[in-house]
Amino acid sequence: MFLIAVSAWAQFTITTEESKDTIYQRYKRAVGLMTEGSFEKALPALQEITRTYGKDAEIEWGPKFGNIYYHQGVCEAQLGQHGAAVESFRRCYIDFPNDDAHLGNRNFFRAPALVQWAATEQLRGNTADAIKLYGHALEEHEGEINRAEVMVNLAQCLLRTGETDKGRALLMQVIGTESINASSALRQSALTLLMRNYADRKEGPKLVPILDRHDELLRGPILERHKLNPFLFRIATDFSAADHRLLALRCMDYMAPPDLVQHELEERADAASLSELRAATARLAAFRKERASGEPPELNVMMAIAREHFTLGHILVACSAYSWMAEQYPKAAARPEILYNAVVTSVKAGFWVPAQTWGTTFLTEFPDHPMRDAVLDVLVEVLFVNGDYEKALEIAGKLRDSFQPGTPPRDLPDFIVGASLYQLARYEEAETELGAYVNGYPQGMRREPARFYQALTAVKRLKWKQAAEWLDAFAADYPKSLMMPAVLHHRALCHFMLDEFDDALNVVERTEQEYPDYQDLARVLNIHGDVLQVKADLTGAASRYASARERALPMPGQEEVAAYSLYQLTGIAVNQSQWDKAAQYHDQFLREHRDSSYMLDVIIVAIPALTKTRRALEAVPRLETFIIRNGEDPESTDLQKALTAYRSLYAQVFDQHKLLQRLDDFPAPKPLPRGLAGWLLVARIETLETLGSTSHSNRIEGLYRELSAFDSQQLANYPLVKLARWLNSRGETAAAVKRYDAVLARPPEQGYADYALLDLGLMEAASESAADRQRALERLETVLEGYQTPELAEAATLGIARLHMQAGQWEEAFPRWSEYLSHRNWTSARAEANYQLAVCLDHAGKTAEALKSYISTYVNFEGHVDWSARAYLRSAIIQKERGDAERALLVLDDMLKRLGHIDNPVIGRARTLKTEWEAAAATSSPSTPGTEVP
Amino acid sequence: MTNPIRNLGLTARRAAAVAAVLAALPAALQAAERVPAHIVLRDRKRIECFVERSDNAGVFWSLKMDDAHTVHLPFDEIAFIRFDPPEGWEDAISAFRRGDHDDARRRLSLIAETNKRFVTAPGNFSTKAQFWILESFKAQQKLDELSKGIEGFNAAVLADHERHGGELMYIWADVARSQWAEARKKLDALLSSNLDVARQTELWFLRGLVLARQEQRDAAIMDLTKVFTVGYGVSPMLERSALMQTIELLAQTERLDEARALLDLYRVNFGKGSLPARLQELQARLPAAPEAPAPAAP
Repeated sequence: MFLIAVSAWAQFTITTEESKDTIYQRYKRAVGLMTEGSFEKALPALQEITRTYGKDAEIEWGPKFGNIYYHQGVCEAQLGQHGAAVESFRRCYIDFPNDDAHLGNRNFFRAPALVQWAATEQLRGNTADAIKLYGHALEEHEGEINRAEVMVNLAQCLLRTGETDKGRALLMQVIGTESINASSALRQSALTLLMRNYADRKEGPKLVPILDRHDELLRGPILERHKLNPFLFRIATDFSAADHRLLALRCMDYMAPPDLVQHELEERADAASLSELRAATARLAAFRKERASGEPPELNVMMAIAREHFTLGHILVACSAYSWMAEQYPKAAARPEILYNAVVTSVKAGFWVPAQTWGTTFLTEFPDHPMRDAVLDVLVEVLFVNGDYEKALEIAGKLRDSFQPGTPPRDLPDFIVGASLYQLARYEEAETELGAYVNGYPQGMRREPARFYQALTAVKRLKWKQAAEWLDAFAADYPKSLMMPAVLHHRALCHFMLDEFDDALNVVERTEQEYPDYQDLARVLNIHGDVLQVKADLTGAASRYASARERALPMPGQEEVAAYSLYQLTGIAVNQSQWDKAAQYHDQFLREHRDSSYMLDVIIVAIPALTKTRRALEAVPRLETFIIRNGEDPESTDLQKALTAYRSLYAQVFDQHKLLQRLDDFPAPKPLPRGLAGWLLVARIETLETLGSTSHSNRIEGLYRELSAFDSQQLANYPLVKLARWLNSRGETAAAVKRYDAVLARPPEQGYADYALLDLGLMEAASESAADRQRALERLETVLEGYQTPELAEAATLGIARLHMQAGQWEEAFPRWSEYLSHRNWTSARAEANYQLAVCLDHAGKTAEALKSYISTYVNFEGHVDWSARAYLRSAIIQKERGDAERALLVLDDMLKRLGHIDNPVIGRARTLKTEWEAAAATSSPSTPGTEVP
Repeated sequence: MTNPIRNLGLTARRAAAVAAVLAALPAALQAAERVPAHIVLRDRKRIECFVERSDNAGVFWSLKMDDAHTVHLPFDEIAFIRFDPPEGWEDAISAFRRGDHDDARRRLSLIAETNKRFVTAPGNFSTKAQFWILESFKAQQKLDELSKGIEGFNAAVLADHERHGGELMYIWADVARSQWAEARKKLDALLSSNLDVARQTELWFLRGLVLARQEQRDAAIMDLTKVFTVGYGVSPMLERSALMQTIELLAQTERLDEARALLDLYRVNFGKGSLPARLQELQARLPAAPEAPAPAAP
């Protein structure tokens, strides 16, 4: 700041009229020009004076001539002639000192000239000189200068030369020492210089206590604050770069928000007098225009604030800021960055819906933006984690089409596709996708979870052995995986399903010990209970189920796990004849698990307990409710289970006749759903069959006819198979095949496909057509190998063996007969099996073994004449062929003695042979041994 | 003197013309001494005039102090009236700004009582003084007093630039009285209107408080955090309070790491190196932060 004053010249002692006029007028004019800011016009006038009268002026004119040099210096400094200005100020200060001898002739600008000299040296970069001059000014001219201003300038120089402590101390004095009496503006300048210095030296934290004491200097009137905005934002950026992020936030918080500035300008415009109105309105309009042009000025600050919070781990804080900006600034140039950060922070905060919203917005607005893939990465993962698998599948599916399989960008989307398919229960596709991922990405980013999902997919597809293999491999490769407890859990399940009960026990015990906090531990405890039940340790099982229930009850989403535990506890109590306890469990279940899918199971399993506690009737309406509720869906397993239990219970409480009456007029709203109607027909048929089919055969036939009028789609598989068997037994083969085909067209999990296959196979086995018999063989093989239904194994094995025998495939038939005979509980064709096994051995040239089997047949199954007669005959022939005619005749004698009264072609043939052989023996001539196999 | 009707809109021109005609008529009863004022019309045009009195429908004014008659101008054409501040006004506001709230309220109460002559006119100093009394209670968070002081307060007769703040006082009073649903309704309505960030900041703060009381903690956090992020620089007092509430809500929702991190923010940027008792207690209850894992060997 330069001081300009003309009054000093008026005190000049004028020596001549000419010089008086010349010097005074010129000086006055020059100062006038300076006051108007015309320094370039004022300077020549002043230079002319100093050039003309400067020589020996200190003697000629005394101290007051120094005032001219001061003003000349001011002009020179203003015009950037700093070297000349220094000289002018120097001359003013050095050459024109005031002294007591010239009391009326004073150089009024001597001290200011010294300060300006220092300031000009400071401007020229001569900091050391400036420091000396400022120091001198403070020491020698305290009362003549603006001390605070000089201290601030000196501090600036000291800070520049590295004398940081001294410089800071001076600034602190200006800010905090009342006696210095610094203006608010100077104190604010001092504070901002300190802030700048601490920022430059990366010593931000040392600034904090200073701001704590003096930051009111940064919170002055809003329009003053607004001027500091650029400085505050720059310094906040510097603090941020030095990782002093809290300080960066603090600095930005001192900034004046544009809205407040505008409010202030509006208020001023409203409050303006008419004379001020034009200026106030113009200022407001200019500010509004500035705000409206280009980016909103506050947006950069908001983004910087959000960024600092994000970096500091204030995720929700950043999330709220980014989300708000995303809502408010749809046209911002930084919108992609805002949206991306809104997605990322929402994900990190666990706010899934906003994450999806902003992610989708980004993809819609910026489909070709370079950050698109990054957003997609976050988004699909979010969608997946959030359980929006359909959307995750859709987006990941689209994304991966842009990349080659096996390449890094396709890694995540390929995984998400597979994992989403798993979550959507599209297990067959999931199996393919996850398999492709595991094989296609040996170093994949999501290899670990992909292998986990792959193994679980096998579990879901009931491929227990495959699942077990993958789970074992996973456990070996990722022993410290976070998914290990889930891996062990499912491994235990595989063991259990594969009847490896000891192994299952080991794994569940290990899981319980090593992962006591596993979120699905209740399920593991239930498996533990199941294993112990199999091992007949009902007390141990009950204990595990109780633990499982206790653990599952408070866990959200595990209501069914707790329900299963209570269901099993009910069953165990029934098994242990603890009727009251079982009834109590049953009652508890009804109270606490009203919507459980195990409700029907509990009602059924508790029937004995209710019966023993004289409450059996309670179950009747409950079962009827289940039957009616599921009547619309003929394939409902609940319907089948409920109806079966209902028939049994009703017959037990009342009798079969009452049951029949009830079924004839079942208390369901009419008309009955077709599915339920079909089931009720079957129930009535089976009840009548129980009552004795001979007396009810007409009625049974009528009911079957009613059933056959149903469209196959309206019947569940069980009624369909039952109807088909009846039709088949009536010789209505085509109608039967139609029903069987309907069963086979449905997904196998609906059940009874194995029955349909068996029946069709056996029907086709009886065909004359080789192709039919081949198809029969395939169907029966499927029943045996594919379904492994124990109750169908006997019939299927028998059918296959017979087909091989028909085809003369003795070698193929032999193991089937052996298999048949190895099951002592397979009794329907043991005589045939023994005989046919002998035939196979016979054809294989193993005569001695065949003979034993023939003998075994007629000894053990004498009454099965079809087989025992043939066995007798072939045994006799073998003896004859061996040359033991006597033994051969003895066999025939025995056969005829035991079976001779029966009219049978084989026996007739035996009788003929015996006659021949006896005749031959009488003539001692060899006879034909009878080579045929009977 | 500046011509008061220069550049005025039609309404003002008409009103001024009527005033000129009436001025030529014989003097009527003078109700009271007229006071100089600017009537700022809704289109921001203004009339420099003398206001005699106001009723429920408008004000009576004249161009000159001694005009025989006054003109009645209805309020629906007036944005507000800028009266000269009454005696003691600057002192009262200075006391408020330096934080001497007792003194400020004492002075403001006196002004509110002695300046009721134009109490129906927007911009009158009685209502304005009431508003600043409420502001003072708010600044000290003496909400019980604020809710008592709201009786008889009419924000509609504040000047334009104060009216929004005046309307917020009713919500503060709702909050003070735990009338959460009522407060929420008003806040939702205001926040769905087109307010600028500075005006929304206090609304976010209030709605954050209400949402927290309504157990909608996540939503409360989202509102409160905006006060000290996008609402930067508007109100250090609200920012400090919003940050404190946010920290408590984060702790309640088990977001302990973030709560811990924000305690640092409070301590350094709002607490002058320490925490208030509430946050100290909360900090003591927070489990220690988990140790950072050792850096992996290269």
